[in-house]
Amino acid sequence: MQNLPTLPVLLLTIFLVACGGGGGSQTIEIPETTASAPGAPTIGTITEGDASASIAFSAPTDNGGAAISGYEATCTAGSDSQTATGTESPIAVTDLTNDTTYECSVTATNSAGTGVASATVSVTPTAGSSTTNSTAGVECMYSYAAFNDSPSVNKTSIADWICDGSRRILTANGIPDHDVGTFPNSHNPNTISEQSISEEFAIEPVLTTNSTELGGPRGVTGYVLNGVKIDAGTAGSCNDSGSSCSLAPPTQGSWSIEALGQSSFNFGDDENHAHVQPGGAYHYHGIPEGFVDKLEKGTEMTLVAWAADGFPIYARYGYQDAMDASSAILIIESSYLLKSSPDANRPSISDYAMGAFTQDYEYVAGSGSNLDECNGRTGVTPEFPEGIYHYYATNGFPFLQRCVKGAL
Amino acid sequence: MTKSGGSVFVLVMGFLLTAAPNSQAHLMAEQKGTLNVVDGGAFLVLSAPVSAFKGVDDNKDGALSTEELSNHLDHVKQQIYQGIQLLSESGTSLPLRGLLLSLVHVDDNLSNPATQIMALGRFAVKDYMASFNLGVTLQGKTPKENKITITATRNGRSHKMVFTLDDDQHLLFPINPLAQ
Repeated sequence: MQNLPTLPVLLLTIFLVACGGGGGSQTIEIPETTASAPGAPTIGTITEGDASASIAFSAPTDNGGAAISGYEATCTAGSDSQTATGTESPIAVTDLTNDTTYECSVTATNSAGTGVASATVSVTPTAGSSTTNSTAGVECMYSYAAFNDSPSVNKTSIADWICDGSRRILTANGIPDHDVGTFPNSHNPNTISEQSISEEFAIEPVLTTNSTELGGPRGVTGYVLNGVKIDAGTAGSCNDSGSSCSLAPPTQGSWSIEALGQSSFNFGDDENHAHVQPGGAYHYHGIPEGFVDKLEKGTEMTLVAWAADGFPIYARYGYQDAMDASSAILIIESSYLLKSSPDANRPSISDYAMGAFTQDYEYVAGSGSNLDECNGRTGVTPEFPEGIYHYYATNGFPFLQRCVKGAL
Repeated sequence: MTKSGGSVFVLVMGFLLTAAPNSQAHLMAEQKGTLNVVDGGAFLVLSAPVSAFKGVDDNKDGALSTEELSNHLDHVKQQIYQGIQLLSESGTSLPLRGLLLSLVHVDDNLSNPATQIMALGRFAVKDYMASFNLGVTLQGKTPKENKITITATRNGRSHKMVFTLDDDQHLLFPINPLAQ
């Protein structure tokens, strides 16, 4: 039986004022709950590399009552033991000896300490191997060309994806293939027009330990299969508080107004969480509902897009256990939360409610569905039953990812 | 992801990419604006021409650099306060609060000069269903900058207004639009 945590006693004194003018005080005892160490993570897939191993795992079902602050992966072969740490799955353990079998495990840590280790899994790194995830054969023949008679479109939507050796190639005109809202409209005075889209993606994306912020001047975050781009963020602005805000690009300021999730400013997005840029580019800020509906997958995991790094993007639904396709399907939630208090120098919340700015949110590892800061995780999917790193479009912030974890 | 044809995007967070299109600065088209009148305030988004602002273009190139905007932030702010005013029925100018500024570059390309300034803010409105007048005197010097179009919305109703130097004030949501 697991030991219950010690419960220190918080003494609270309440002063009572009795009817009739009398006064006094009473002390009551309120037990204060404390956290315990988290349970054991579950290792899913280990990908062998050249003197390395990438260990994908699921968070423990019991976080001990406190947010998990990090994980440690350890691979041991006799007296040779190598460790690596991280805040989410996967963790790459390096400096291993090739052709040697290691036993690897993962532990989770929270404010109360480090929990028990996962069950061990064997791995034998070999020279010449690398930790890549092949996407070959998946959506390599997606081709669409049809007239869209939605009143604000009235154009042919074209999107062709092909796979050629190491490349996934998109040729498209950026015209959506589903009904759209009215454009221009009162809040978005721009008209949808054809774009010239020709992009390449890695067919074997490589997961890194870094995240690269994308969107706007930094480059397109990804493309939905229908050839419409994902560009969820907005440029920053400076408030009138003076020198604390840099206007230098690419951020152009400290405060980026969110296109979704706030009602004060209406940027004319439609039911697909999309609107139109001055150059006529229709683009998504959130789940492309019209496209998702067309796929008619219901609550299945639904691949809707490819991110700039070549990893897939799924809409809304995922497995409860990332590594178990037989586990329940549920709505995946991001690991971003609204900050409990506004940042210093933030424009007043009386003018801009919390949630109006990108900067109002913070990434809290282990919260929601335990996604990483780019709304991704490693796990099995219908297209990748052995597991792959993948992203989610979520109902809540960031709606669509603002960064990628793979090499560019 | 690369542009098909071989030019590789090298995108590293924190690096300055002046040649890439600034598609994020797309919240408002040039010379246009919106005013969302709701319970809690009238929320403004406006893209106004740089040439409307006096004493800020230090090198006289007709555009505004980040340095020029930083150096003249207070001056720009004051001119916006004077150049766009929401007036109550009694003619009182309602305060514009939480003003946010950013530069909008030609063709949304950061390497091009910024010829527009985007402003966001909230007019403090006590009764959002009251009668208001909107005045805009931020017209620029070039022919295409001599009018600013603002669409106001309230309770699902929208009202499109064109402001010129000769017609710089409009009644919001008139019962008879032709009578204003």
